[in-house]
Amino acid sequence: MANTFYLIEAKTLGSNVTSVTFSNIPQIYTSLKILTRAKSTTNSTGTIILYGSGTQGSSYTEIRINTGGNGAGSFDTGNSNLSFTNINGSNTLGYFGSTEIYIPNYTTTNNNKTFIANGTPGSNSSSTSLMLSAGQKANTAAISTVYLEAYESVFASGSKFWLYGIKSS
Amino acid sequence: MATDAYTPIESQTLSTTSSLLSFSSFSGYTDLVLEVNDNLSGASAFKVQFNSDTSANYGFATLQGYSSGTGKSYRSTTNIPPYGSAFTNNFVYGDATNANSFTPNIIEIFNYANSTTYKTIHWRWGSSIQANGNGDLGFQIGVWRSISPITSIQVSPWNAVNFNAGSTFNLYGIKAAI
Repeated sequence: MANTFYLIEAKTLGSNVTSVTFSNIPQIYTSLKILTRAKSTTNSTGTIILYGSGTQGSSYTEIRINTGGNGAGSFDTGNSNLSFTNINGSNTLGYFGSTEIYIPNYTTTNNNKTFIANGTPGSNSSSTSLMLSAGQKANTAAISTVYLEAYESVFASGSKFWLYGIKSS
Repeated sequence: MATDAYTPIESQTLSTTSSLLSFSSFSGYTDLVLEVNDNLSGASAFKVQFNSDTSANYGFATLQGYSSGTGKSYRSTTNIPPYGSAFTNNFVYGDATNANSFTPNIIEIFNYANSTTYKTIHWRWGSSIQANGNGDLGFQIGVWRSISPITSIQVSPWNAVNFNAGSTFNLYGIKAAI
């Protein structure tokens, strides 16, 4: 029977770190899926940056819905990076945010790279929200590295990250 | 020994334009996942129908953000009575017409083979994202008002346009028990 859904790499942080990198991603899958269970040491917006050929560049566009908790939702756009969820670091009760990121056709060199993601910060606050986001890197290079950082903060020890590869045939 | 529960069923990459894709060879799974990365030849979304049913049996609720040259909007809508206007004849979303920009879509179809309940879906997409910040993304939950098992899936553009070459359609099956 076909084996379709591969765990490429899993990381559990033993200390606070500024970023998490999945590199040398095999170019044999159709799509990538990243799951995170993470929080930052201070209030932060988790950010995913997709490296194509080893350079970050500035060709990112992202749109996002943040329900904001208590109905105070918002819709925003950005051009500096690809935000995928809030990860509230203000709590000390062990709440970690959960996020799913889908990156289709990451090996193609024919079109720009896109992603969609959904996540929640995971907290006991009334401001706990759901974030949906989608983004594009205006570069046709294949993605060989995925780089995640906690915007203006650091990932807290105990945060977990999983990278999966999905084959369509 | 663990057995794989996530199985590729069919994968299509368009070499030429197409106005309709149909999937009909899937059995033995609990849920289906249809991944679509589409680009369209003209302004349009695309629609999904089951068993070639074109009657008004499709209801959905959508959380959507949209940005264009005229501004940004954020809204939640439904067409499910009494909260919305009326059921429609398809599920719809997920457009992209910009060169080199394909729309990622994940459409999950739950318990598609049962013959006792209406069928439900989740659809996530991020469309037409451009360097100027324009784009469209959302999450939709849907119900097809039929207790018939789903035996075929039709995917086609909403307007009279085509899927462009390079669009990909990957169907997976998920088993809840092995």
